[in-house]
Amino acid sequence: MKRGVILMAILWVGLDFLPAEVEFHGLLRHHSAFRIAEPSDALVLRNRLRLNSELWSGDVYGFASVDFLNDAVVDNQTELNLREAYLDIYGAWVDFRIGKQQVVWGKADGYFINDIVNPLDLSLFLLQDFDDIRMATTMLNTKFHHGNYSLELLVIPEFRPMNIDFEGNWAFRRPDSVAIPNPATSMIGEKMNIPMVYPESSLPECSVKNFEYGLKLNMFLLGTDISLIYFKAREDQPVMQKEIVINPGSALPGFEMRLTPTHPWFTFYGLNFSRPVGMWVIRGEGGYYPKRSYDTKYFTTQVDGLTEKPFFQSMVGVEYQLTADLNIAVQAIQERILDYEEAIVTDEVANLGTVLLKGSFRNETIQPMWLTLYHFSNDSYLSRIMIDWKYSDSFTITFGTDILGGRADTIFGQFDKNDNLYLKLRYDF
Amino acid sequence: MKLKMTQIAVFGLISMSFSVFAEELTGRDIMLKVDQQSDVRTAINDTKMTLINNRGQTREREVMRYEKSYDGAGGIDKKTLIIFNYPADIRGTGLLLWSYTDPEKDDDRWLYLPALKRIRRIAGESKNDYFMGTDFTYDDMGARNIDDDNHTLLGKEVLNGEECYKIESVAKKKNDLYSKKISWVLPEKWVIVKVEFYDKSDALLKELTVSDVRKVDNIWTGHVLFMDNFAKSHQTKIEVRKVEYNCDISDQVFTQTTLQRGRVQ
Repeated sequence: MKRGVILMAILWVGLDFLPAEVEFHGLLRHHSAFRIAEPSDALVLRNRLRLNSELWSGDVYGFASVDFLNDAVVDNQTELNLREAYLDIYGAWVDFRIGKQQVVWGKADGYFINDIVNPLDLSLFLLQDFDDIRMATTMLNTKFHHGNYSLELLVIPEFRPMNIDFEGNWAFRRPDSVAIPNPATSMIGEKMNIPMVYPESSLPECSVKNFEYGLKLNMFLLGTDISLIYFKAREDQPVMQKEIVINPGSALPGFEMRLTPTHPWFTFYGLNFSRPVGMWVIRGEGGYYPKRSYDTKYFTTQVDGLTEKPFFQSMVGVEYQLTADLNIAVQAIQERILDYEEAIVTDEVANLGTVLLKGSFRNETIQPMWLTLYHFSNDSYLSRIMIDWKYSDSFTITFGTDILGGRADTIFGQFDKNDNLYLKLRYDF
Repeated sequence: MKLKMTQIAVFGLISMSFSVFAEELTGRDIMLKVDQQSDVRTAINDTKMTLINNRGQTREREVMRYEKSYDGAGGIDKKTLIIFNYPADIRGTGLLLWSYTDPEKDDDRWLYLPALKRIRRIAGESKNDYFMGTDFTYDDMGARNIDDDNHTLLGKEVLNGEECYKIESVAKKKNDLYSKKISWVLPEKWVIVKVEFYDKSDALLKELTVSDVRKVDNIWTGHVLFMDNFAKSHQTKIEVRKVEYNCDISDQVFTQTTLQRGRVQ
């Protein structure tokens, strides 16, 4: 990473001698969040200095963004992170963007259906801004365009997995042990508890055979924006390959379950659309995976405990301007495992709803927002209420709260104890 | 039909000098004169916006605006691209507008927010929303078909030492933000120099004044526009720093691809 930053710096200094315009800007942001329930401890104490530089010379544009990040709750170490660094070359009918970049292909608010190009940073679950949740990936992004049509082609040599924490305040649940049929007494259905171990993930090497590819065709037809998506990639979220092995460290003959994170290939077909109808805007997304891996309830020393099934996700949403200052967006989301088997651990169908109410008052200096994601299938939820006060063009104060709830084994419910109040101070320069 | 009247009010476009004696003109005739003399194929504006709140605190925006008239080709009247270059936190924010000759057809609008890295479709009927914290609505910023309003000549009135036509324009659609607008037009230059906007209860909502009217490429252009929003105790001043007319602008500029780039080469 440091090498990348140095290379960018050399490139920028070098380009300074070319007939190009260069600009520097950035932001300084403080983010603190405190648990509402006892012990009211800090969940986040994070300071970020972001330096952005932009360069343009005719049909060439460059952008680089570096973060200096300090998190007092995690380790109090200051990290240097190259967020994005890319070069654009614009042509009459084709544009190129090469480098570390974010690509947004979805239309949903607060949910990722077709927005699957970049892996997510869930180290603070959904507390970060979406710009920070999406992790930039190095790729070549080619865009052919003509009139109302454009075709985007992505070639992604770099694989980055999703960033999930298993320790700390926003750790995802990971069981320590599991009950399996006791081989000695399996005839009478007796079970035994064995420990679960989690080896480190081994990432695919950077070679042509591991390149990921994406295609997106965008059209404007009969007043409707339509996109068709094809994506061939590896799962960012690890699929846990299960294996029951004899525990070599055990004095007595014993077993352990080894869950090795893997990142299998998947193929994805997607569709986006949006269209205004009077005061409404209707939008939707659909994504189909012909094959995805799912955990099953059954596993033995011979079976890895996984099965492959087709999977479909869809979203239909409407947006409506309630008043000149108030906008509401409602979304219905469904996830469905096709050709379902009872042995699969995940539910066959998941239904979610989102409501986003956004205001903009006093010439956009005061902007309240209420976002709720509700998982109807397991009654878990995330509700966020926040208010932005733009004191000046440079200085913004945000105050908000995140309320999470549901059973401990649900996506939101696992953070039930993390209801928090937060404050963000942002200075742009 | 070339770039239109409201745009003249807002961005100081046009009106070639047209020496006529127009005693017999109706309100619509005058507005049509203003509109007809707006014979601009394309326009590029480099503007600075200053937003002033009731305590006198200011916020600044630097905006590039590109427009191209299509004369009804494919049903399109005009395409507009607006891009914010300053301040840093909204840099690259852009708005793409396509307006149509058919007054019944809503504009197509797309908004690009760099923070979300996503283009959002905006309802065509949301013309009455204020644009990016200014005191101008989307409708104020775009083109307005002359037959969207009924125009009545109220008479003549001296404004800043110059005799102007005073015209009342009442929207035909019931859902318009304004119950009426009263405009002052300079007869020699065919430039609107003042507009009063009234709300549904006929109270004065906003007042636009246009000053520093100068010829650019033989076209009379207002270089300073000042909108005083009485309802919000807020003001917006637009200074046109540079304007070019009838220059070549590729159709490609008015696409989502350019909107997402956040700049025009």
